Amino acid sequence: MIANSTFALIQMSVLIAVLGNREEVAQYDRAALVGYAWLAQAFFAPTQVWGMPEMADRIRSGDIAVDLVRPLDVQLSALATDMGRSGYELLFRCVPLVVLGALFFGVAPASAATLALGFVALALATAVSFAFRFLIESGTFYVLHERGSLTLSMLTVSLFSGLVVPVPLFPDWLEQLVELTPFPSMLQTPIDVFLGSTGGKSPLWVIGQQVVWLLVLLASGRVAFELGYRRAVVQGG
Amino acid sequence: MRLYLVLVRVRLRAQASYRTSLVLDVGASLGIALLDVLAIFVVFSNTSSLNEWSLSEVALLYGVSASAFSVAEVAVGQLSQLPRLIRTGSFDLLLIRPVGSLFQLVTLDFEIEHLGRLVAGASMLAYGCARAPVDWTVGDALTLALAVAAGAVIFAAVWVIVSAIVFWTVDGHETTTAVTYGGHVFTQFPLSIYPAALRIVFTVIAPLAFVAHVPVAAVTGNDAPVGPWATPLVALLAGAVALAVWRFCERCYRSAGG
Repeated sequence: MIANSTFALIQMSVLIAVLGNREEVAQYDRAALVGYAWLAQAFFAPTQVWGMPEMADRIRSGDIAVDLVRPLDVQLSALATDMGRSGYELLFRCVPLVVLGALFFGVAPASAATLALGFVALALATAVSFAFRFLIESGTFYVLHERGSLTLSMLTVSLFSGLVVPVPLFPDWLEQLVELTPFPSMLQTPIDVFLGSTGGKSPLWVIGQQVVWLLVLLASGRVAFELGYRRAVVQGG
Repeated sequence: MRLYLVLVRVRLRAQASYRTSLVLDVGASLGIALLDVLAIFVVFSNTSSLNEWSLSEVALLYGVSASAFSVAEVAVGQLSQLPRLIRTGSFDLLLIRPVGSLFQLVTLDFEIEHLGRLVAGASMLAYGCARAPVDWTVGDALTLALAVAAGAVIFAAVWVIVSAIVFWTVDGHETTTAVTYGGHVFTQFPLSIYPAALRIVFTVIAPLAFVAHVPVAAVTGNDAPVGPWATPLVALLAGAVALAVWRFCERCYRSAGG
């Protein structure tokens, strides 16, 4: 909480300083920028854009063999576990931070509709984040030094999901490039839907994008995992 | 002092034997630092000045902050092991040995890979020096060099003090992160953008304002609450306070095993 609040305050200060005397920058006015800083920190925990590479460790150590013996689908059961974790973070980290932001800085959803849609977007963002991490961690079957690819993906996600700076603030060419990736769907989208700051687009459109990315990433993850597992040799029998 | 150097050499040699890992870790550290750098560039692609600070001047802020922080991170970063050591009772082992516990903690390892951040810091310093509208003098160069050195001491002192709280709370991870890494991000931007409460916390309680803003402002001619002479003084004071706080908290410590 303390760390999140500190980072939120700092980011809020920077964004407001960027705004300067203007009414708005990109699609955000002052209130939206303040909201952005708080929600980025609040939503960061449930979506876990950084993620603990648990599965990568299990693949490297061979423990994954145990998971494959179980009568559960590896990917979907891991997804369920992650959603559960996210629910816990939602209650104990996200909600308190949003309340703090609301009490002291007037952070609020644009309407009851955006609040409801915001939850949907947050749940989807968590799932998209999970699916991407599952895909990348499946790469552990193929790569000797998985830490390199894991770190690289963590850095990419941090930047392009809007955690560090809102994506619409990127230079136009970069913004357009990033919009083609699943990363904004992991954090940027629920924030924008909640605040009602989705620019010209309808909230349903960006949520639809999340659904599409979720399906694509889940499918790719399954393929990557399946192929990787087939070529892996587990030592120790 | 000699013992310190021996331990440093030992740890470095151990790390060098895993060369690929080390290279990857340095890359990771540099990558993480670059996130902050990119954030600064993105910020300035949306505005030409941040409360009258230009991009090159903020680059100087970042350069000093990141350079100082990376040195502190290598020197005392192992303090983050304290919660684990206390929880498992291993900390008591440190207390039996004839060397101070703080010394032992910070020499547990010597993660040279954090110097990846130093690369980013030095680069931004170079960029800022080249582009900033400053009539460079020897005094300016000394101010910045001293800022990095004193800044490292201040960051390290703050790290020690915040870690000492762990003796009471056992898991102070979040507060430590907030003050150390949060503090590092705080020092990358001019003080004037922050709300008064945050400014007071980082000037009086954890004097990080003296790391970058004060010395750089003296060089660029921006506003600062006090002159650059304050920075080394604050460093000395912070170091002394840190050692005293650590000793006090250590004495108050009651381990799990009694």
